[in-house]
Amino acid sequence: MSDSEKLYLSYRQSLREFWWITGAWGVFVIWNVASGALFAYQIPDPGAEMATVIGVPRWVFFTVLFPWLFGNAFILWFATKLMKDSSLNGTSDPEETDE
Amino acid sequence: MSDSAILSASSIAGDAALVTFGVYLVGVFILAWLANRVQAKKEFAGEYFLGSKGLGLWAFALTAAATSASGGSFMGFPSLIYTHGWVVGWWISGYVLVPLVSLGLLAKRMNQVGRISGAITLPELLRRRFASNSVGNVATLLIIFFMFFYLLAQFKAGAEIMATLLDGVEPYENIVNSVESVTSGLPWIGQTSGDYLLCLIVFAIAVITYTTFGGFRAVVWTDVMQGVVMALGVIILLVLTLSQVGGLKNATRQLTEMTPPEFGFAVLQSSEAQSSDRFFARGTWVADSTGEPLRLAKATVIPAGDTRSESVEILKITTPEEKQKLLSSMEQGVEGVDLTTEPYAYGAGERGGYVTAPGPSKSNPVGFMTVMLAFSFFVFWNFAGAGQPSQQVRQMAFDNTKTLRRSIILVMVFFSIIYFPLVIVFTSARVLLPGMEIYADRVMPEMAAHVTAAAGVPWLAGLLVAAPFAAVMSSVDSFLLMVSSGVVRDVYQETINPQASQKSVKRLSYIVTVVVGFLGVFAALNPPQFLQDLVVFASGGLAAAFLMPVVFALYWPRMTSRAAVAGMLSGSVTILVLYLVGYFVHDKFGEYNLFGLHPFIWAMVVTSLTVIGISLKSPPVDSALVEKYFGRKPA
Repeated sequence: MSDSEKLYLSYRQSLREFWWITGAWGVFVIWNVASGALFAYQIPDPGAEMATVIGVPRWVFFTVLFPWLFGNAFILWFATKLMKDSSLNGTSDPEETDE
Repeated sequence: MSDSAILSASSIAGDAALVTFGVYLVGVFILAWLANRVQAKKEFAGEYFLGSKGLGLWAFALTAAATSASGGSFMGFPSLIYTHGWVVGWWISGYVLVPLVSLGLLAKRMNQVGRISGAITLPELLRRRFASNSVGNVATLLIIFFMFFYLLAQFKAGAEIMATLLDGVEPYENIVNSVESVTSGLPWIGQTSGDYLLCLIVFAIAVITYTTFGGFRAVVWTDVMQGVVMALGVIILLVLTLSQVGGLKNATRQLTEMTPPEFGFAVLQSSEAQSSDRFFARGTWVADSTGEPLRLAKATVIPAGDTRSESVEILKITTPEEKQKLLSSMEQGVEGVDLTTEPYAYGAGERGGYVTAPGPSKSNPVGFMTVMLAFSFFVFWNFAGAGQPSQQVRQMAFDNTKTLRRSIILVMVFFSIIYFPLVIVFTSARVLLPGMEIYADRVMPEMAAHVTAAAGVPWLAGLLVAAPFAAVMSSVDSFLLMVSSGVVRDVYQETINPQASQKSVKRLSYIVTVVVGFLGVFAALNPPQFLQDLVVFASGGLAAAFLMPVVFALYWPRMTSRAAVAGMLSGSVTILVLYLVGYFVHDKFGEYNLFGLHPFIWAMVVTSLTVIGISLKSPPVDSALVEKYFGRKPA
C-alpha cells in the first residue's frame, strides 16, 4: 500500500472517531438537559428534607455526578479501545516513526 | 467563626502567599532557564513557538488542561457556586466531555496536517492547507485582534488575584505606599491604585521574562508545574472542607434551609460618642435594632464626638440558623439603624433555593439557570474550548498518537479532580463562611485560610492560594506566545521577509514577545470596567472564527480557500452583530441570546452553512492538494 493510501485510511479512521465523539456528545447533552429540566426545579416541601444520594442532592447525582462517572468510563473505553494509533506524518506506519 | 479569626487567618494566608509566590517565581525562572538551554540546540522558530513538536504525555496533557483552566476557574467559578448553590454543578457539567471533545475531535488530524505541511502556527497551517495567503492573513488578523483582549484581561486578573492575596501583609503594604507616593501625580498611571499597579508590574515582568526567555517549552514546563499545584490544592481543600463541615450530607441539609440574604443600607450608631474616630472594616458584623446580624459591605467610620456613621452598604442574613451562629461574632457597642434592604429578584425568602434550580439571583427575576442556558453551556464548554487557537496550536505539538490517547485520559482525571470537587467545596463554604456575598470573589483565598487555620496547618494556605496564581499564569503565557507568533511567524516571516535568518527571527521573537507583553500591561493599567464581558466576547469570537473552519479544513476535502475566509469572517461577524444587538437591548456591553441560545451557537450554525454553501459553489479544489492532506482511496 502506498503512503498516500495509508494517509487516506488514517484520515478515514480519524473521521470515524470524530463521529463517535460527536454522537457521544449528543447522547450526553440530551441526558443532561432532560434530566435537569425534569428534576432540578423541584423545590422540597416546607419542613421536608432534600433527597440526597451520597450527600449530594438526588437531581445533581443523576444529572451531573452519575453522567460524569459514566462519561469517564466512556472516555476510558474510547481512548484505550476505539481510538487507533496512526502515523502523524502521513507517510509511514506509526511504529516506524511515532515512537 | 469570628471576624477577627477570619482576619487573622487571612493574614496568615497572606504571609504564606508571599512566600509561595517567591518560591513559585524561582521555580518558573529555573524552568525557563532550562528551556532556554534546550532551545539553543534546536532550530529556533520551531522550538520557540512549538517545542519542536515533541511533547510527551505529561507535558502535552497538563499544558492543555492548565491553559484551559484560567483564573476564572479558581476565582469566578467558586464565587458563582457560593452565590447560586448546587445549580452551578449543572452549569459546569459539560466539562465531563471536554477532554474528549477538545483533544479527540481535532488533535490527531491537526497534528497530522501540521506535520505534512510543516506548519508551526495555526494561520500557517491554514495557509498551507489551502495554498492561500488570504486564508493565513485573515486568520492572523483575527487571532491578534481577539487574543489581545484576552491577554490584557488575564493580566488584570493576575494583578487582582495577587493584590487580594497579599492584602494586609506588612512588607507588601509598605511597598504599596511607596509606589503610590511616587506615581500619584503621573498621568494615566496615577489613576491606578498602588497595590494593583505593583502587582500588575511584578506579575507581568515575571510572566513576560520567562515566556520570552524560554518560549513554548518554558510555557509547557511551567504549565506542568502549575497543573500539579492546581490539582493538589483542590484535593487538600476538599478533604479539609468535608471534615470541617461534618460530611457532605450535613452540608446539603444545612444548605437546604438557607434563604438568600438581602443587600441594603444602614447607619451605624454607637451608644456613646468616642474621643477618637471609630473605624469599622469591611466584613465587620454588627446587630440591627432587633439584634439580627448585618455585615458591612464597605468600611465606614463613626467620627470622633459623634454617635452615627454615614449610611453604608450592608448585607442582611435571613436564615434563622445562621443568625444564631453569628450572635457571638457581632461588634459590641454599636448597632445598625435606619435599615433599608432589597430582597433578591429570585428566591427571596424561599428555602431550598441553594440545592435546586434555577438558583437564587440578586438581579435576574427568573433565577440563575434556565434550561436553555444549561444547553448553551454544554455546547460552549466543549466546542468553544475545542475552537480556541491556543488549544489548537498545542495539538500540533504532541509526539505520537499514544501520547494523545493517554493524554485524553490524564486530562479526564485532572478535570474530574478539579471541577466537581470545587462545587462540593464552595457549596460547603456557604455553611462555613456566611455573608461572603459582600466579596464573593475572595471566597477561594478565604476558604483556604479558614480551613487550614481550623485544621492547625495555616502554612498550607500558601499551596492552596497558589492555585489561582498558577491558573492565570498558565493562561497568560500561552496567549502571549500566540500573539507574538502571529506577528513574527505569520506576518514577518511569511509576508514581509520569507528569507529571514534564524538569528533575526530569534531577535525579533524576543523583542515582539516583550513589546506585546508591555502593551498588554499598559492597556491593563486602566482596564475598562466591562473587561470581564470582553473576555467572554474574545473567547466566543475566537471559537466562532476558528472552530468550524478548522473542522471542515481537517475533515472535508471539498472545502475551498474562499469558503475558509468567508467562514472565519462570518463567525466573527455573527458574534459582533449579536453583541451589538445586546448592547442596544441591555444598554450595556453584553451578548444577545437569540431564543435563549448563546451567540457562539448561532455563529457555529452560520459558519457551517457559509463554508458548505460557498465550497459547493466554488470550482473544485486542486486534486494534488487534496491528495497531499487526505491521501488517495485504495483501489
